[in-house]
Amino acid sequence: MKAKNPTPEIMVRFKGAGQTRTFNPGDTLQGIVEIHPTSDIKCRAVEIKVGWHTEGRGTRAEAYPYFDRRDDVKMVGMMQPFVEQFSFVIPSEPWSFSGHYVSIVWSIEVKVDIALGRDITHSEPFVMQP
Amino acid sequence: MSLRAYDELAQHAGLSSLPSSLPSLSKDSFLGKMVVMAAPSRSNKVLRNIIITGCFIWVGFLFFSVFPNLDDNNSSPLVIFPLFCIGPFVIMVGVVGGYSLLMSTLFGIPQTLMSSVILKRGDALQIHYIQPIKRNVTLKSMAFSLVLQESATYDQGSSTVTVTHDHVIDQRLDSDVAISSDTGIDHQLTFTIPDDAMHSFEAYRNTLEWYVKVKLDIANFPDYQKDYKIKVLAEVNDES
Repeated sequence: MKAKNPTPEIMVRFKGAGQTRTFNPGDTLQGIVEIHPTSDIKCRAVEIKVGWHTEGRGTRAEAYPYFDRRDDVKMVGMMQPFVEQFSFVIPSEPWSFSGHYVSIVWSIEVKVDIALGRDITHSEPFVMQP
Repeated sequence: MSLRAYDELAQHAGLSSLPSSLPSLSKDSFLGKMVVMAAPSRSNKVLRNIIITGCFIWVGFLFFSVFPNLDDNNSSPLVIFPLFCIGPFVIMVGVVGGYSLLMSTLFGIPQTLMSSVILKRGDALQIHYIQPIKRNVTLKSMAFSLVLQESATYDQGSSTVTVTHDHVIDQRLDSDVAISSDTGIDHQLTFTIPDDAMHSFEAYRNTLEWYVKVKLDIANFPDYQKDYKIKVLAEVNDES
């Protein structure tokens, strides 16, 4: 039986963001993604993507204008944490929105792509509004 | 912005384009600004509700009055299937035809002029609504609403369902309005897109759309409703 991967601690640190994590259209979103596993995790790649998706009653729609897949990362471990900087110019739309049936959520998604296993994912939402 | 530029913008945004001529109003005299003639973008929901109710009544009538009285010779699919299909079709044609006939006895073709159909936060939207009326009536209410409509579509079993929710941002409501057939309705008003408004948004199965909705409530008549789609851009008006 294959051992289950322990959930690593994934942190996203935004540079220059206040408590509300609110950004304007056209702002440059900068920060660091850190993955600190409690044991070694073999993986195929680590993905970082920034974009929006809809939440609510309707079928999910999504778009990720920023996508970075690190195929060279084959393992993250206690002695080998993953640290990656990102920088992304936020487009002019769509703005974050919270409605009755439709919500638009901006977020940074981090995925540890594991072969023949459940991927480890982490989502860090932020607000994009003028 | 020139009239042609407005027209191109409107076509690009999938909205109504400017007609080559406006029957009784000057294109550039209205409130001193360029105008676009808006075309209604939605059919009347009253019609849809009447048709659905009529179909339910027809199906109920079949189950409780017709089917129990069918003998074995008449209960083949060749008899039952047309009963299910023809009834709703007749109801649909009857309701649409009857409604159109009824409304044409009272209403002429409306002219709706707007200062623009493409706006930003803080922009003012001037509307001139002209509705010929063929006889003197008293409206129980006349409402002009600026609405942000959420629309979400999802799968439910084998069918696809769409739900909508209206956020009424602003509304002008008049009650007990006496309308003369000589003047008809000639109403001018201004809405302002709020400074914190969300822009129009369209994605797969999720939309946020802005409308100006006109609803006339007349005693002993079905409601008369027209929806005019506008587009709010993801831009902030620097002058506001």
